[in-house]
Amino acid sequence: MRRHCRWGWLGLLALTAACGRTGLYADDPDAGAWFIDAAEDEPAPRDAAWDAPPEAQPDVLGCAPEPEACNGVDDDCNGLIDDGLASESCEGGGRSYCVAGRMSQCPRRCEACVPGSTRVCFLSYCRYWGTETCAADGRSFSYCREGSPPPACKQTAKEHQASAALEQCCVDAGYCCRDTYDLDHDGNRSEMLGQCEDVACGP
Amino acid sequence: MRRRGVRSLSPRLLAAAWLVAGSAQAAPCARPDLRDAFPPNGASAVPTDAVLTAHYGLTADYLGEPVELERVGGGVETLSASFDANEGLLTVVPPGGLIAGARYELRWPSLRGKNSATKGRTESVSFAVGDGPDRSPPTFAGVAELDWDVVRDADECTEGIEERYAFDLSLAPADDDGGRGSLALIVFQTAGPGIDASTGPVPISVSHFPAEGTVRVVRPIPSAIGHVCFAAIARDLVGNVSAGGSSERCADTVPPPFFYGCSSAPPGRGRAPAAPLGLALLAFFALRRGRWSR
Repeated sequence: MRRHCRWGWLGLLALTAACGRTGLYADDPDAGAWFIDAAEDEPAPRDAAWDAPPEAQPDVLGCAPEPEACNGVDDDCNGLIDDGLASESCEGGGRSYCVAGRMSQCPRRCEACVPGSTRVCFLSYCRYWGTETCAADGRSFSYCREGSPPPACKQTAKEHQASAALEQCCVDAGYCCRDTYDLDHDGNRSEMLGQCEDVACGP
Repeated sequence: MRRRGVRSLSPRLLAAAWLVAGSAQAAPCARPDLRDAFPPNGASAVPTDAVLTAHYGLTADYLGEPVELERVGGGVETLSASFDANEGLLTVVPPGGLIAGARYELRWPSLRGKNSATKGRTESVSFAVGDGPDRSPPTFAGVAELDWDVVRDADECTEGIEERYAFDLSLAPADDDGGRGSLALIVFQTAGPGIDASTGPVPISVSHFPAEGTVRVVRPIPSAIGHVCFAAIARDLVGNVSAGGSSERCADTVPPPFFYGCSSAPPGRGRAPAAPLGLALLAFFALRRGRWSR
C-alpha cells in the first residue's frame, strides 16, 4: 500500500507541475515554439529583383518596355515592380497607393469605432440593457457591460426583455444601438443603428 | 492634541484626495496626442519644397488652431493648416518654401478630441533645411520578413484585456535624399478576411520609419485569422512614394480560442487557479494516505 501511495504522490506532483504551467500564452517567449507555428512566410517569387539595385539587374529577354502601371509587373523593364507611380487622392481625404499590384483602399479614421465611444447592447438577463466601449485603438468594442435602461425604455425592457422592441426603443430614444435584432433587415447584426455619428468611423 | 490636529487637517486632506481622484478620473482614454512629426525633431537635409505634417491620434479634431513656424534668427510665421481626419494628418505648406540652409522651429498645436474637449499632447520640432528641393523618391524594397504573435494588453478605454494579433515586420533598408529619418512608413494588409482583389489592400499604420528596421502592427482577431499578408511603402516629405509595395510577406495564423493551460481564463481576467486545485488534490491524497497508513 505504501508503495502504491508513493506512486500516487509522484503522479500528483507531475500533475501539479503540468497544471502550474499556464505558460502557453502567446506572450510567453518560452511557450511560443509549441503554441504557435513559426511564421510561414515565403518570399513572393516576383520580388526576387528587389535584392539587387536596378542598375545591376540583367535585362529580361523579351521585356518590351511600356509605361509602368499598377499591376504587379515590371512594365518598364527597369527591374522594379510598380515603381514611380503617383498616389491618388481619395474623395473623403487621404490617399490611395499602389500596393501588391492594385490600388489600396482609402484610409479611414478608425477600423471599428471611435476610441472611447460607447454603444448600447442587449443582454438576455436581469436588466437586458448594457453598453460596449470602443477600445483605445478603435479596432474593437469591449464585451457588453450590464447597465440600467433609460426611463424611456425601462417599461419595454420589463415587458419585452431583450428583443427587437427594446432595440427599437433604443434607436427611438436617440442612442447608438447594436443591431442585434437586424431591424434594418440587411442581415448584419454586428452593425449599429441610431445616433452613431460619434461612434462610427465614417459616414 | 494630536486628534485635533488631525481633525483640522482632514478637510484639506479630503480636498487633496478629491482633487487627486478627480484628476485621475478626468484623464481621458485615447487622447488625441501628436504621434509623429514629419520632419521629426532634429532632422537635417530637409528639402526646401517639403510639406510639413503631423500625425495625431485617432480621436483628433482640428478646429483651426494655428501652426507657428519660426526661422531661427528670422521671424515667426503663423500658418493655416489643413487636416485630414481619415489619416489624422495636419499639414502645412510653407508659402514660398523653406530657405536653403536655414534652421526652423515648428510648433504643432495641441488638438482637441472628438467626443471630448480634452486637449492632447503636442511638441515643437526643430530641423535644418538642405541645399535644395527633393530630387528623387525614396528607395525601399519593402517588407523582408514577418513574424507574428498574440498579445493581450490592458486597454485604457474598455478597462479590460483586449486580444490582438501582433505582426513584427522586418524592413529592407531604405534611404532618401531628404534623409531616412524623415520618411514615413505606411503599412498595408494585403490579404486576409474581407480583403480581395476587388477591395484592395487596407492601410493599417502610418509611422516614422523605424531606426531599428522592424515595426510591429496589431490587428483585431477577426481581421487576421488564417492567411494574412502585409506590404509597406515609404513616403518622403514631398509625398513621393517608394516602390517596395509589391513585396508581400505572409503568415498563416491560428484562430482562437487559445489554450491557457489549466487556467480557464486568460491572464488578467481573474485566473481559474491551478494552484488551489493542486492544493485540494494534495489535501485529498494526504487524507487518503492517513487512511492507508492505518
